Amino acid sequence: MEIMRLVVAGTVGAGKSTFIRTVSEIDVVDTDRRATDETADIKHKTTVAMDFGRLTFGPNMALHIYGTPGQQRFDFMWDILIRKAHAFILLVAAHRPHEFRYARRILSYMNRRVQIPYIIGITHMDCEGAWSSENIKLALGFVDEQKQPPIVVLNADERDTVVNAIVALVQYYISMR
Amino acid sequence: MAITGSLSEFSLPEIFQFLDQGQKTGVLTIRDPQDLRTGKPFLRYIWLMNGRVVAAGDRTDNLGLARLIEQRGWLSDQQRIEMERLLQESVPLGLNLKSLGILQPDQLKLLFSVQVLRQVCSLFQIETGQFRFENKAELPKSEMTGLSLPATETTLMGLRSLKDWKILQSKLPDPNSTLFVITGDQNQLRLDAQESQVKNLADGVLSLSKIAASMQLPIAKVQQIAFRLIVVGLVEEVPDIDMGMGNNSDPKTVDGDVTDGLAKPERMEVSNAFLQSLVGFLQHKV
Repeated sequence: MEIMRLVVAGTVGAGKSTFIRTVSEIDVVDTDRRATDETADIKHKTTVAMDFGRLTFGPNMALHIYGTPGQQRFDFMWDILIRKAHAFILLVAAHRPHEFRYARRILSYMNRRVQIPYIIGITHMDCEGAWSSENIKLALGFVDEQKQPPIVVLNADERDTVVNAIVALVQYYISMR
Repeated sequence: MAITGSLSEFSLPEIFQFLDQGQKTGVLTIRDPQDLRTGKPFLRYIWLMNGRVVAAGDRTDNLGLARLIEQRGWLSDQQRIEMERLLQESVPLGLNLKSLGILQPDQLKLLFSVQVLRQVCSLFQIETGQFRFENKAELPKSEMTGLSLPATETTLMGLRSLKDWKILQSKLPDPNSTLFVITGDQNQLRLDAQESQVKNLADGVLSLSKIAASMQLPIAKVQQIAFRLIVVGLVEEVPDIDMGMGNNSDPKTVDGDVTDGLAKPERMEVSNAFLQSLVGFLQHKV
C-alpha cells in the first residue's frame, strides 16, 4: 500500500478540521479511535485530539490527511505527525492577525524539525477585517519573493478550493523532489 | 488597502516589524477612545516612508513641526515668515530650513527626538486601542525634519524603556524555546550589552531558561530581551516539544511504543507513478 501523508497545521479557527472534513471520503475522526492507519500502530494511550481524513484513489494508493491538535503547545503528537508527513499546509485565518505570531512559531517549529515542502493556505478572506495575501505573507516573515512557499487562498467549506489547495501542495512536493 | 486591528491582537512591535520588513510608505493611526492612563481620547499619527519613521504627531493640519520650532524660540520674525512659505513646499520642512541656514543639524536632531522618538516610544505603553495603516498615503512634508529611523529601531528604543510588559505577555517567547540567529542586513541595529549577549547565545541549542541561567538574569527579563530581538528580525524563536507529562515524567512510562515509533525511519517515499495518479485523481474531483 502506497500512502502519502499530508499534515494540515494552522492557527486556531483557521479551518483545519473543516478542511479535512470537506475532502475526506470517510468521516473525520480522532486517530485514537481508529486502527486502520499505521500511526495507530504506535498505540499511544494518551488522549489526543487529532483529525484524520483519507482519499483512496487506487487499489493500493491512498492519501492520508492529518490535522494537528488545536492547542498551542507543540507536544509529542506534533512530532510524530510531522516525522511521517511528506508535506504540510499551514492554514492561516486572514481576519485574525493576533494568530500570525503563532503561525510563525508553527513554521519555525516545523522547519527546524523536518525539511518537507509546505504551502500556506489563507482562509476567511471574505471575512471583515481580512488582511490581503500580500500583507499576511509579510506578517509571517516572508520578505524575499524568491524564498517563500506558494500561497493559496481557499475556503475550507468549499471542496473545489480545498482540492485545489491539495493539488498545489502535491505539485509543489513534486517540484521539490 | 488599509490594515486595521486592535493593538491587543497585533501589537505595536509586530506592526512596526511588518511595516519595516515590507518597506511600507503611509500613515499609521493609533486611536484609543479612552486611554486607560489618562481617561481621555488618544490619537497619534506616525508617517513612514519605505519602512522608516519620518514624522509623528497628533494633528492633521500639518503644522505640528512648525509649532514645535516656534515654541523653541529659534526663529526671528523674518525666519518665521520664511518658514510659513516653506510649509507649502514639496521638500521636507527640516531640510529646507537647514539648507537656508535657519536651522542647524543638531537642532533638527533635537526636533526629531521630541517629535518622533518621544511620541513613538511612549506608544508602546498603550494597553488598548485600534490601529489603522493606510498604504501609500501622502506624506506631509511640512511635518518632516528630513531625518528618519527604521521602524524596528524605534521598536528597540520603545521596548527598552517599557516598564510594564503585561500587555505583551502573551507574545513573549516560551522559556523552553530556543533562538536562532537570522542572517540578514539588520546588523546596523545598535544593540545594548544584554541584547548582544542573548544574540550571541542564540545557537539553537540553549533554551531561554538556560540563557537566563547563564546570564544570571530572571527568565522574564531574558524573555523580554529575546522578544526585542525577535521583533526586529535578528533572531527567530523555535518552540520546543512539550511532553506535557510533568517535571518527573519519563516518556517511556506513557507507552514504550511511543519512543520506539519515534526512533523508526518515519517517512516512506512515494513513487512518481503514485504522484501522477494522485494529481490526476484530484484534478478530476474539481
